Amino acid sequence: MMLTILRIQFLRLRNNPLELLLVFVMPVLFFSIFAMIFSRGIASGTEQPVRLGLAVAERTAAAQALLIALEKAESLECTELELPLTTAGESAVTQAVERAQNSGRYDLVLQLPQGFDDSAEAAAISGKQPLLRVITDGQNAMAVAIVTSRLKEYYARRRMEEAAQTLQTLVSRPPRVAPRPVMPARKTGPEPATPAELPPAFPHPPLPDEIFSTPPADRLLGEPPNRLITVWDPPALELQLRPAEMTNTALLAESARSAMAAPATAPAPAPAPAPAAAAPATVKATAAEPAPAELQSTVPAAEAPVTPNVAAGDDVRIDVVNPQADGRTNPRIAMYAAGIAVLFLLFACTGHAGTMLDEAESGTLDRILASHAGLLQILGGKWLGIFLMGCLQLTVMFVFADVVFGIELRRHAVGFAVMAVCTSAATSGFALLLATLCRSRAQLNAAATVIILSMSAIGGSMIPRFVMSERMKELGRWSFNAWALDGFQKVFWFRTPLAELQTEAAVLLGSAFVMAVLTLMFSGRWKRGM
Amino acid sequence: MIDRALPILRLDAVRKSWRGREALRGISLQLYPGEMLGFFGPNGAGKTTMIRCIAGLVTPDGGQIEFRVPDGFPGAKTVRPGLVPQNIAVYPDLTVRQNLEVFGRLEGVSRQQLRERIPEVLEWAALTDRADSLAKTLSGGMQRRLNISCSVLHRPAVLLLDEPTVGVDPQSRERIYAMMQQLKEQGTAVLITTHQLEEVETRCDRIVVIDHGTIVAEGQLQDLILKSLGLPHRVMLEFARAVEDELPGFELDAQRTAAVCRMADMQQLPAILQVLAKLSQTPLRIDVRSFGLQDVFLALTGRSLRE
Repeated sequence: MMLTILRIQFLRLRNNPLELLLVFVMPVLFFSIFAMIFSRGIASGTEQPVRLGLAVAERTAAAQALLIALEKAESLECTELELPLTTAGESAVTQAVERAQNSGRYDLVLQLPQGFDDSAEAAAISGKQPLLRVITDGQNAMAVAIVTSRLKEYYARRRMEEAAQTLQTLVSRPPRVAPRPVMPARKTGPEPATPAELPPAFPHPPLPDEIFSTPPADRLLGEPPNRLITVWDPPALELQLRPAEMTNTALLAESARSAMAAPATAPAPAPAPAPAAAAPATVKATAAEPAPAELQSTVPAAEAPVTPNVAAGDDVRIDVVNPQADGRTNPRIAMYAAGIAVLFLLFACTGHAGTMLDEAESGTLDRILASHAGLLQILGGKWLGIFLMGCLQLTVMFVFADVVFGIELRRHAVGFAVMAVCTSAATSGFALLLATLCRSRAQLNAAATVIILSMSAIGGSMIPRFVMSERMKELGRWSFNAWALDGFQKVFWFRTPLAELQTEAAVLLGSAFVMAVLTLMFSGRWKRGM
Repeated sequence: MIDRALPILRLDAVRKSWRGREALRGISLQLYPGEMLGFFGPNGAGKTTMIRCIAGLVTPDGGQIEFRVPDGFPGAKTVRPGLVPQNIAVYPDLTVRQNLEVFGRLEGVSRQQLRERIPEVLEWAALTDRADSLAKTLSGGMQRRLNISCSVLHRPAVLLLDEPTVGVDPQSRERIYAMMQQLKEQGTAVLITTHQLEEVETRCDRIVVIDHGTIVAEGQLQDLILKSLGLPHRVMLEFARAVEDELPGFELDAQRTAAVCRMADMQQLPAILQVLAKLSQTPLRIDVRSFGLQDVFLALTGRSLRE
């Protein structure tokens, strides 16, 4: 008997292609989607570089050296921003930087202020004042950690170089200066200044490629791990340099260790991990500068209001600024609310559209079609019902998120209303079209499961879009989720003006229109009873 | 007074094809006020397509469908028929009253009219006591009556019923036909498709048999029997061995082991049976029967399956 029951199950499964699709194809499909996201997005050995916008107010020699070093880093994709003239005022520059950050083209923007020179660097290295501003939208905490780690790395090496120079002076032995390599061509921006033009800030001109005989990129950011460098002849002093070519994952882990070592609430300064701790304590550059503990923990905490927060590296102070988080406790919750809301909105709309199939199977639709109501009125009424239900569902979701998590719905009520209407219109059209194309409720359920979960996976409802590769992001734009999430993100996160929602609104409303037309084209089947 | 001489519904050479397959091949018929027309045929004969054409769900490829609401008809002047689908086409999660309200509104009945009409219909369908019950909690018979009730709120001149008594007990069936009878008396023309031959025989004023998209017979039962089978009664004799005697009035088969005699009237039976007294052998079996709709149906449409 059990075998007979088993056979029945097998036969039913075999005779039901939709069931087979859900059982065997869906897992493979989802695996493929997530594999694509993770293999070309995050957590892989070939992770995509952090897109770093560079806002350089004044191209000093120090700035030039830093930019060269940053551009050499494979983990960074640097693009220099066009800034307004300094005469336009600091606020204009700040706004331009924030606009660039909000454009979505950059994971982070690094701002080098006016007067970014060696003296400023020296002050920053001493931890007295912040030197650099890193502007983030709070989405990509990993990018913040990677860039600040790279900057700390850079200044740690600068400190090492200073120490080396000091030691060389002490032993009256001039350093062995390697032939100066040719300055590599910049990807962007003007040509660097020549050494003769550079103001002296360190005991010796601090151009990084003059210090050690290794190529500058290797020395500053790309050096193989655990390289030993002999600075002078006997008595030899060996400085074990910190591994420079650490993977982003390793840098993240290090940042986390730093944060754990110095809790945010600790009142007393905590010693930061010194990259050159093996060097004598008397050597200034190798002595770890104590950094305020509250500063060290703020780098990756995108949810926290970090405006202005300061990430203290081992040797330099860096402002990490998140304009979007200003005054808000949980700005990212709005994005989660949108992601989940759109996912369930698609399911709910499809479920409601499926009542057409129920009515067709029961004959209720025939009765209605034979009545005063025409097919256009029936479809219009159905669409309106699904649309209103969708708006209500989104409203409930966001009101709850506002009450419990404080997403400031009232402050963004208009933007929310626009996006809710557009999203609901598109999902209603999609659901009605899907129901029109399917022949039965079972077929609709299976098709909806496959399509909605796939759209949600690539569209950002399951995995944030910012961790996806550009290709995946582009692929995600074939889903409603991506456009809806981008719109809600603009409203709640970037606080963009209403007019800037026009792209998302146009795509969603356009989709709704196209699907309405397609639904009407295929709606003859309802009358045929097929 | 309703003029019952003119047809309320007239189909003239209605044709319809689905993907090259002809479902209706020139159907023509008339339906008169107060008439109940039984419409039946094998599966796939074209009944449903014809009902959908009459209901306006499907546009015919050719031919004409005309409605004419007779003068003096107490119901709506609209030509739109009421359609009662075969399944229970109501919302199970609405109450009886709510179902009547929504379908009444869909039929264009005003709220004010519905306030008067719904109690009438509830009483007509014997559902007054269950007016506020959810439809899904009703018995099968009640659901069938509600199914019909939802289609008569606008007092249609023509009511189309597709298998209205499937799965109901005899009491509910009687009630449903009593409801139909009331509609007939009011002048409503009722068209029923069913496979319940006994119902068609006893309840319908006229019968239409459709097969392969064409009407193969139309008329009252006796007319159909005469047209398709000849005389309506039959006596059949079966013998153990070949009969050597002559059997006046009977037709013998080739083996002379069976003989059949047709009668126009049962009163002829005693005279026919007198033949038996003169036979040299006694029949194994004597079968006397009157033909019914099933015999007509099989005679007209054959015995091959139509799935």
